[in-house]
Amino acid sequence: MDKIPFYQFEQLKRILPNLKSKKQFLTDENYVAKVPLTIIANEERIKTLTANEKLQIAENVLTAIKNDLSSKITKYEGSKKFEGRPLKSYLEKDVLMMVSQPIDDSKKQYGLPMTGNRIEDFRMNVSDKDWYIYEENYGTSEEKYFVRYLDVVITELKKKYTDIYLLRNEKLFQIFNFSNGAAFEPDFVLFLKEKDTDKKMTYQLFIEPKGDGFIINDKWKEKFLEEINLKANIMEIDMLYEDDKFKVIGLPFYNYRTRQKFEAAFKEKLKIK
Amino acid sequence: MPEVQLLADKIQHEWDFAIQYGIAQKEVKEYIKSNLNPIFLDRPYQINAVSKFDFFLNHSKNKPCGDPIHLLFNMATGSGKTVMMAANILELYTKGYRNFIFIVNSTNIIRKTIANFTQRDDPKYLFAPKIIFDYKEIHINEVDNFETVPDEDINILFSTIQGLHGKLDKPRESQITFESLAENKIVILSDEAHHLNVLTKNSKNKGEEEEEKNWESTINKVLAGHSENILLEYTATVDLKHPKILEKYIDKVFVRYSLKEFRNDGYSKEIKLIKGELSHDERILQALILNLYRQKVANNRNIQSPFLPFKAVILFKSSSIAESEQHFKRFLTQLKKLNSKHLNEIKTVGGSTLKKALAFFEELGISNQQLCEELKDNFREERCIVINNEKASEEHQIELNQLEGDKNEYRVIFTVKMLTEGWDVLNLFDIVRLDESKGTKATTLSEAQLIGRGARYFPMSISTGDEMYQRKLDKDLGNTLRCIEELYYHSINDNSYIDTITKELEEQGIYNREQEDPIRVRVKEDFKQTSLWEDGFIFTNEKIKKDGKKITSLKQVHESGLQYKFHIEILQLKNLLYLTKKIKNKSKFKKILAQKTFLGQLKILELAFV
Repeated sequence: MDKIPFYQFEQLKRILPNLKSKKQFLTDENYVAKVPLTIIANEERIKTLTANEKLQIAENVLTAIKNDLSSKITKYEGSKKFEGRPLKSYLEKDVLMMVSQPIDDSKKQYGLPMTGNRIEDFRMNVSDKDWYIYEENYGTSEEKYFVRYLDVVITELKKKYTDIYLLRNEKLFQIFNFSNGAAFEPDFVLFLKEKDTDKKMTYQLFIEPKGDGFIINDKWKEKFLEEINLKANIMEIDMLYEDDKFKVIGLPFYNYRTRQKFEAAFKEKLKIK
Repeated sequence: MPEVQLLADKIQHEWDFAIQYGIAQKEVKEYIKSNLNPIFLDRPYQINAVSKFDFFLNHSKNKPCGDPIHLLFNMATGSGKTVMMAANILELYTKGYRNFIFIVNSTNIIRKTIANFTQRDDPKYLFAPKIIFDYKEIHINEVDNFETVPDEDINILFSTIQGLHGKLDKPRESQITFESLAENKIVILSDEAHHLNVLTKNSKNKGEEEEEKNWESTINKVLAGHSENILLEYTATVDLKHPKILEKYIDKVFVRYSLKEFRNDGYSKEIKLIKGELSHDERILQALILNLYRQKVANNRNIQSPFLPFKAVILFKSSSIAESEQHFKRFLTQLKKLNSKHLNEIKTVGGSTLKKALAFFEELGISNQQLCEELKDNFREERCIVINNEKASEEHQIELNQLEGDKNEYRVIFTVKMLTEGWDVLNLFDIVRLDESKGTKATTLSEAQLIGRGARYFPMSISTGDEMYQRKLDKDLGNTLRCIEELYYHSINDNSYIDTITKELEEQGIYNREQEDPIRVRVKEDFKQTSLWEDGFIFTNEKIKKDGKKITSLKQVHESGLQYKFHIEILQLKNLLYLTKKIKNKSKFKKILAQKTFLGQLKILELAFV
């Protein structure tokens, strides 16, 4: 450890302010002691590692830790407080987007409108749907599947809620992962207002349709969406809206192939059939 | 190309199978990863190519038996061919190769290439500061011959094809000969040097044709010198539509990554044709203003990038050396005489992009007078460089490949034909065609290639977590920063020329006309009558600085958690591949794997205290 200048105590202390000693860095379970290391070798070989080999491995690993600590360090976090900004302020400008090469097949739907879509699963007359805020949806196939799903459950939703609107997040806003502040742009946000209750609760749901190939890589986003339900605090808006209550909700990814999971959570959160 | 099965297709098929059975992994081996400069190898297509190469050497049925290997990596300009070479060198090192011949396509880039491969302090050095194999540090040496080179190191002989041919043709003392080369197995890496021979055969005169044949036979002779020799070619352009070329390369094309894929994956700048009824001087002025605009935008919007402070480069292209020199003189005079009157005039004739730029300057409170001064200062004579011949290009190759650096003052380039293969510039934002003629099909083709090469993405991140090396604003064209993702080609205003260049760019896959006409998404008018529109909110949280005092574990610092793997030796899985054919059952196969190897878990603690 002394070979690598990075591991001077002062240096470490800058990243880990509560560290008491270099020894603690190595031996404390909260620090290096619990970091898993896998050695891949023949069985014989691993039983007979020489001291020199072990030293080499240690040096390599400590260098790797150094690189990770200095590059992927998280200095940020996402606030637990959610603050409201007027919806209008987000929607003043038209959205302009470029599509490199729209290809008309079932996999590459991005850039194609739902209205008059060649493939029936993705076809919907968007202008007829009063709950869809934009004039058209050019999203991916997963997004289109989700919009079609909402079109199916909308009657059920309307029994319990009013002011139901779906907004595609066309680079309008980001939310930030609680643990490291990583930015995330959920694809949709759904607004609903409870009918016939005194509370006048307004819900804002973050929804992220996700294609098969991306689910694993973006796992942290799904985890973050789940955490929103427990951790998010709404900043109270005083002024005129004393009576109104707001709640933000995160849902699991919508994926057409495994849609049951989303649909169950969706129905449960919104208490519909 | 339908019906034809290239080696690349066969490999893909085999490799998919191997991945399914856990014989190959879609990842870069630790000994490559840890020995390369980490910023260079993280894109999916690169990882796949490296993994396939590893697979090919160890397991592939398509690997020739007892004969030299000859492969072609067909990868778009800017997609990282050099880093692919570096990764391949490391891979081959583990296979016992120590001697490498690196053939560059012109002397213009030889020094730059040597710097990238052997000089640790070079900003674009390809390897890790320390290269370690089997616990030992090894070095990369630039050598003249392989007679007395350290046999634990990577030894590279850099040369042009002409140079190599010359040396071998008329051997002198202490230089390489065919015989000395045949003593040990060697790898020949050829960067855009070799395949072109066949390609251009028809247009060459007899003498040139003869010469190129000689070069080709030189390479073939070297290759044949040892049965384990390897020839790896790297090129952005291989015309497989040409039957002769297809015939030669059908069993050699190893991976393909086209400019079109490169662009669609978001690794390039987007190209915008700037046209309009402007005079020669007006076209230049408009380009200068737009170039300065990018600089102002980038420096105003607090982007993150390895290349800050941000500097934009502009290139003026002429059709002949005489013209280029004339244009340069004229440019200096134009700049000297520039005053607010010119700016007022261009405002009325310039295009929509220019209007956006001028509005931005106005917003910053920059008056026309100030703008004039800034233009004069930014593009002053000391910041111009004229590269009209091979010699100038060779002399300035290092500066020209470090135009992004903060110590490099150049930002205006006058040239006729520079920008050959291997010019590695990320902050070129404007190319101005000065020639007023329509040109020929050949010159237009070379212009399109120039644009393709200039379109490397300028690495930047706008908010944390976004991909530094990929376009981020395709869905947000209204964003001010979009102009940093765009390369403007300032064309002459001639419809038939514009038509040809557009076709040429589309052919290359780097442009399509529809992109000039983006999709516009509007909010429904009916929605604007609702109460949600009037009084509704969107609730979002914010990114805030972490309170450092609360950090009491590594987990809090490093989100995804640390974990490490260490290979003591490279496992010989070759035999296992043949086993899999007999054993259809996957779990049974895994058992066999487990018996042969052993995954040991050791505590770092134990290691650290030895």
